Amino acid sequence: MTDMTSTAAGMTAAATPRLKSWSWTELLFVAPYLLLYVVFLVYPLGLGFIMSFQYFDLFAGQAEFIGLENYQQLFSDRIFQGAVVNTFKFVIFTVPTFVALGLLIALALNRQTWWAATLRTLFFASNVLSVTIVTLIWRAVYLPQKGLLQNFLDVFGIQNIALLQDPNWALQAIAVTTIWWGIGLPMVLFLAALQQIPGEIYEAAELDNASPWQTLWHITIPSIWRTVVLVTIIQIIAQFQVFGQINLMTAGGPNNSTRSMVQFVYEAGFRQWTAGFASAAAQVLFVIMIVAAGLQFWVSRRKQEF
Amino acid sequence: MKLTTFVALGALALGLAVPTMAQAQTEVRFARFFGACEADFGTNTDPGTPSNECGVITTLTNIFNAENPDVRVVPEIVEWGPYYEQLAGRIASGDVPDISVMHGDMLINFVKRDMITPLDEAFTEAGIDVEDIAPGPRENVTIDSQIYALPQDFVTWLWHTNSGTMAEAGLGEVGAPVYPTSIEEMMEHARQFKQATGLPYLALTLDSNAMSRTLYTMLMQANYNLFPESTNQIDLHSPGAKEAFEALKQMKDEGLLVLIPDWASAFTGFSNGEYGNLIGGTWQIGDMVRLSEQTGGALEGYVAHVFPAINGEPAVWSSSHSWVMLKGGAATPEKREAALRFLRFLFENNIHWARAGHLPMRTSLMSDPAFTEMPYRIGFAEIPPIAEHLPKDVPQQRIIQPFIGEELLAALQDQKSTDEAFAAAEERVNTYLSRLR
Amino acid sequence: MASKTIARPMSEQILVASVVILAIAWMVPLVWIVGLSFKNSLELVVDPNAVFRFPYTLENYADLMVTSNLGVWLRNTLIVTVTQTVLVVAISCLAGYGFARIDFPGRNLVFILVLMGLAIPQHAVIVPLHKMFNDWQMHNTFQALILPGLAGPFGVFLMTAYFRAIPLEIEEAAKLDNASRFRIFWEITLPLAVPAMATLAIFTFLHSWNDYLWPLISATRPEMYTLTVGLAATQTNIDQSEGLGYLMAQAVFAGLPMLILYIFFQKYVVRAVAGAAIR
Repeated sequence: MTDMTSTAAGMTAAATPRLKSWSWTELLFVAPYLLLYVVFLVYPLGLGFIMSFQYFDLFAGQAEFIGLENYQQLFSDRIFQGAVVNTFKFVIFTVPTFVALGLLIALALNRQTWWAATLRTLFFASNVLSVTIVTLIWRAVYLPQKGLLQNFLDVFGIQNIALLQDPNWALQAIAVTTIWWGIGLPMVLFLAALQQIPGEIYEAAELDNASPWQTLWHITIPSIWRTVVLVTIIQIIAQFQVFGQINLMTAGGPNNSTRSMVQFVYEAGFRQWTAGFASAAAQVLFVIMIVAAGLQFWVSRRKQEF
Repeated sequence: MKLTTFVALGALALGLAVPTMAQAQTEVRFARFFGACEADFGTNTDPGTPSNECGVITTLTNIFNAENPDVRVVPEIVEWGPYYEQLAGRIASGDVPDISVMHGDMLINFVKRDMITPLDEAFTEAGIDVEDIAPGPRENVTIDSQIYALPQDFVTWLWHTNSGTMAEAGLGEVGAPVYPTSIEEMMEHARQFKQATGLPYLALTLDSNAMSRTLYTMLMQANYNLFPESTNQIDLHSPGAKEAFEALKQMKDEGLLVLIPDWASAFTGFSNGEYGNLIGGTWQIGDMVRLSEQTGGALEGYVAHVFPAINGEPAVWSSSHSWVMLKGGAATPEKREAALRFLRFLFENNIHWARAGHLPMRTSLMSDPAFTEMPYRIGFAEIPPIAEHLPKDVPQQRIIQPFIGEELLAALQDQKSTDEAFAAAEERVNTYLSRLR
Repeated sequence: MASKTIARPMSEQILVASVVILAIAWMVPLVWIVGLSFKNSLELVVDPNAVFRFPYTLENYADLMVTSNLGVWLRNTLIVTVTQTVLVVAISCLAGYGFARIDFPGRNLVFILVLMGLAIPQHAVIVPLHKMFNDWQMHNTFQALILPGLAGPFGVFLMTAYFRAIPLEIEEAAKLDNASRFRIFWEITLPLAVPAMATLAIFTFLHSWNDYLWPLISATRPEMYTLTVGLAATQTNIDQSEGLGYLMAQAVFAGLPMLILYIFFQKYVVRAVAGAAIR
C-alpha cells in the first residue's frame, strides 16, 4: 500500500503509456471533481486571501478594503502571538509522545497472541470516537472535585486538582486527551513497519549477543526510520490544526494558555464578527501548513535515503 | 402530455395542501437558549411546578400551545454558548426564526445592522401595555426612541448566603443575615466569620463572566464611568478601578475569599456548607433551592441577597432577557399575528418567570404578593431602581466581558500583577472594539 | 512474525507489563463514564463519590429517549456521512480513472495542481466558505453540509495511483471490441479497484462522521445539527449544577454505534486509516 499510494508514484503520470487519443466527452471523467475542487477549495482560498485585506462583516455582508491593516493588527496582537506560541507548544507536547509511545506500544504488541490483538483493538478504538465524545469523557475525567483524576489522586491525599482551570497545566491536559484519542494511528503504522523487517536481521543480532537495547537502536529503529519520519510529519500537520478539543474543553482559557491558531480564527471570524481579521490569521496558518506539507513531500520523494 | 398532467396535478395538490395546513396551525419558530427539559416538563402545564428557566419557559410554551389550538410554537433550542453566532449566521443565510430571545446588551449589534423589527406598533396591536414595562429594561431596549424588544426580566448579580453559618459567626439570624456596607466592614465580617467557623466568608467561581460582573457591580457602586470618552473605548486605569479589585485580592490572600474552579464544584461546596456566601446570579436561585431542600442540614437558611453595597451607593450589575422579532421572520400576516399573540401571552404570564430567580419586568408585579412573597429572596423589591448595565451602545459586551474577567482572574491567582492585568484587559478590549465598524 | 524469533529477556517483559498497565489506564475513562451514565445527576452534585455506590439507575437513558434530539442528529449524520462517502468514492473513481488513463493535454499540470490541494487545510478556508454559503442562502441544508467535503483531493490521489498500477493490457482486449471508454471503466477496470474503493469509503466515512468545525458554523438550526455538533452544544453545560449523568449517557449512546462498527470491521478500518495516512 505504501508504494502504491506514495506521492512519488503519483508524480510519474507522464510515464503512463497512451491507450488511444482522447476525446472531449472523456473529460467528463475528471470534470465533476475539477468543478468541486475549483468551487470549494481553490475559489475560497482566493476569496480568503482577498478578505484578509478587507474589513469584513460576515453577518451583515459588509466589506471594505483596508489594505494591510488586518495584518498589522494581527502581528501586533498579543493574543495571536500567544496562539502561535500555544500551537507550537501543543505540537511539541504531542508529536514526540505520539512517536515514542506509538512505537513502544507497537513493539510490545507486535506478536500473534490473543491478548496482543485485544490490546491493539483497545488502543485503536478511541480513534473512531468523535471529538465531542472524547471531550465529554475527558472533561468528566478532569472535573474538579468529582472527576476521575481527582478521585484517583484522593487516594494519595492530593486535593483540589483542577487541570483545565490551571494555566500551567491546561494545555498539557488537552495534550493527554489528544494522545488518548489518537495513539491508535501511530501504533498501527509502526506495527505495519515492524512486520516488514526480515527476521534474519534479528537472528544475526542474536548471534552477536546484542542487548535488546542495542537491537532496538541499531536494527529496529534504522529499519523503520522512514515510518518514524512519516508519523512525525503526519502528526505535525494534524496537531498544528488542533481545534475541537480546545474549543470544547477550555475555549482558549484559562489566561489564554490554550488558545490555538484555528481556535483564534474561529473566534475572530464567528464569535467576534471580524471575518477579515480572521482571514488574515487563516493565511498565516495556511503558510505554516504549506511548509509542513512541503516537508512531507520532500521526505516521501527521498524515501530511499531513509 | 403525461408530464404536464403530472405537474398540473402536483401543483394543484400543493396549492390545496398549503393553505389548509396553514389554516389548521400556524407555526411560530421560537429560538431560545435556557436548555431542553422535555423529560421533566415536556407535557407539564402547571406553572407552579418548575423552578428553573428551562422548566418555566417549557411549561409556558406548553400552556400557550394548549390554549391556542390554531398556533403551534416550536422551540428551537440552542445552547447559550454559540447562541449569537448561530443566530447571526441564520439571519445572514436567510433562515430567520419568528421570535428569538436576546440579552438586552446584545441588541445594539443587531439593530445597528438593521436586523431587528421595531415593535412599537406591534405592541399596540397586541395590546401589550408598554407603560407597565419597568423603566430600566424599557430604556435598555429603546434605541433612537423605538422599542426593539419585549423585556422579560431583570437578571442581576447577587450573593447566595448560607445564613446558618453566618448566624454561627454572629452575622445575623438564620434567614436574616447581616451584610456589610463598606469594604472595611466586609473585611471585618469576613475575619469574624473565618474566626468563628474556620471557613472562607466569600466564594467566587473561576468563571471570567463572574469576575467581570463582580467588578462591574463594585465599580457601579462607586459611580465609576467605564466608558467616559466613547462607547468603543473602555477606561480601566482611572483611580478607583484597581482599589475595588485589590480588596478582593486581599481577601483572597487572607483566605477570606476562596476561588472555586467551576460552577458544579461551587454548588457542591455551597450546599455542603463550605463557605458563607457564593457570588452568583438570579438564574441560579431555583436550582439552589432545590439543592438546599435535597441536602437538608448543611444548607440551613439558604438566602439570596442583592449584591451588598460594599463600595459606595447601592447598585448592581444587571442584564435582561428580551424577546425580539428579527427582520425576515414572521413573514406572513398569520405568522405575525400568532407571534404577537405569543408575546402577549409571555407578557401576561411574566410572574411565572420570576420562579426561576429573576425579577419580573412589569412594574405592576413589583408589589404583587405573588412576587414579594417568593421564598429565599431578600431585598429583591429594591433592585429595580439600583439595577445598572453598561451603556447600551457599547458593542459586543458579551465578547469584552470575558476579556476583562480572564485577565483579572489571572491576577487574582497571582499569575499576573494587578497592574498588568488591568492594562492587558484594557488593551484587549480597546483593540477589539477599535477593530469593529 | 519477525519478533517471534528472538528470545524474551527481562526488558521485554518490562515493556509488555508497562503496555498492559497503559492499556488499563486507557480503558478506565470509558468504564468511568459508563458508570456515571447510570447515576442520578443530582446525587452526583451532592456527593461526587456516589458513582462507586448503589443505587444505579436507567433514568438518564430513559430521559435520553424522551428529550434529546439524538435521533434527529443521528439521522442527519447518517444522511451526510453516507451521501458524502458515496459521492466521494464515485467522483474519485471517475477522476482517478481520468487522470490515470485519459491523456488529455495539460493532464500532468492539472494533476499537480490538484495534488497541491492536499496542502490546503479546510480550516484555512472556513471563513470564505461560510461567506459563500451565506451568499447562496444555503446554510442549514444538507447540500451545505455535504458539498465542501467533496473537494478534498485525497480520494482522487488514491484512486489515480491505484488505477495506474492496473496493467493497461487488461483494457486493450475490450478496446478491440470497440467498447466505449465508460464501459471499459465500468465493466473491466472499476471492479479491480474495489479494495482501494473500500479504503477510501471507510476513511471518508470516519472523517465525515467526526467532522466538527464546518457543521458547527454551517448547521445553526438544532434540527440540522449533526451528532458531533449537537453533543458539543449540550456539553457547554457540563460544569453547570447538574446533568453529568445525563451527558455521559449521551456520550455512551452516541459513541456506541461507532465502537460496535469498529469492532466488527476493525481489520478494514485499521487498514483504511493507516493507508490513508501513508498515502
